[in-house]
Amino acid sequence: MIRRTIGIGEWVVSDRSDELLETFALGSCVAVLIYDVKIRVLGMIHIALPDSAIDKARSVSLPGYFADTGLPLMIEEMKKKGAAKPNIWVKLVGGASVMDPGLLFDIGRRNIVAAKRILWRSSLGITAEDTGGQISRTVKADPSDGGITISTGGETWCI
Amino acid sequence: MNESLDTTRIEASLSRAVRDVMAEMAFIDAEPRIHDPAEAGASWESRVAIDALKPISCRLELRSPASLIARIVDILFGDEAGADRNQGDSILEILNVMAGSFLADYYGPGAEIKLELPQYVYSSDGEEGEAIAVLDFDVEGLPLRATLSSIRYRY
Amino acid sequence: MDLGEVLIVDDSFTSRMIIQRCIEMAGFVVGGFRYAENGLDAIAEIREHPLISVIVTDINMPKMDGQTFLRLLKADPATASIPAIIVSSVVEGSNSELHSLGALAVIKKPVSPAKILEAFGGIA
Repeated sequence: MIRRTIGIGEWVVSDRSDELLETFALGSCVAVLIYDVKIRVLGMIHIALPDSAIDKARSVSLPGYFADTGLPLMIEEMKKKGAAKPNIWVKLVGGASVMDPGLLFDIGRRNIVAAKRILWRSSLGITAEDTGGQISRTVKADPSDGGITISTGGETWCI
Repeated sequence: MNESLDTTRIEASLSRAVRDVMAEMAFIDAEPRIHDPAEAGASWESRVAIDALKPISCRLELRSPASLIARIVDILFGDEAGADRNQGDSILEILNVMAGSFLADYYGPGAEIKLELPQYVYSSDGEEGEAIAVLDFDVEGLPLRATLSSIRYRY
Repeated sequence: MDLGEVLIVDDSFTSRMIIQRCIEMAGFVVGGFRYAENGLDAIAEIREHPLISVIVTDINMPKMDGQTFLRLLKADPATASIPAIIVSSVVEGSNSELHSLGALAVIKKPVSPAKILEAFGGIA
């Protein structure tokens, strides 16, 4: 089984049954996972910030870094691979609270809200989420069956 | 009449209700900020209120600029037909859900809650009760004020 | 899952729209949506559109509230078997009163596709 790592600001859309997608250390970052159960296509993105307005250059070089640029692109790629409602589910992971007195807002919370807004505008509904808190999550996803495994420290669970 | 209230818990429950409902329903982040009484004269173009009958007799009011309402409607409806006509309805429904969420948070999940229908408030005609809690929020750059007050007249 | 026609009863346009979109986002195939702003109008809709096979209703509404509407619905043999789901900003008591009205499920607002999926799971 090939392990394919998704770094911060990256996304992958996979229809391969011989690879596992994984992304690490989701602190305030958010992973959005979209899966078409009929054609077995899985998309996963690792988003760092909600709004690309703060860094236009990066939004061009690494659009997945921001929710408002990366998520619509991943959704578009899913559609091109044939993903279609009502066969799709969407799951959200991450967005932990980072308590930093220098921050003007809670980035984790803002990322969750931004992702949900874009999904709403794309008429995609979240069917499960594991978000918030103060833990850093690692996510593994299997395109062959849409299985999602989350881990932190020594604990592992599925959504 | 009103029992004695724990103001700290009231503020915490109200803050949670505002933030959670804005996030889950309007997909917009409301960040608490320090209450500035000097903003009393600010252009709060939209003012909506809902009265609770049980388990406490009180009024929850939201004040915001019209631009925040427009922003919420744009997020919820986009270019959908009917959005312009129903712009005023969105903040009323948000307030309705917020009031239920606040009371359930403060009194617990088993509490019997009764609310009247939300409404727009157009003037201060001396019927305002005593303020129990006043919370200010920064909603992605736009101000929002939530005020919980007692109700002066009840029948 | 095919639901047939769904009747959404809520005095708020925003709420009706959110409920409809959440049902669609949850992946249900719906034959069509009907709308009513209160229990009284809902009864008229059901009489005029016999293909309504699922009802989603708010509780706190003018003219006729959700409780009265559901009691009338369940008292009529022609409509008693239509599955009804309550959506409310105030979930009273331990839901026992609302469940005693014959509702299949009670959803506390704000509605979401996940809550819709769970509530509609009991529909055959």
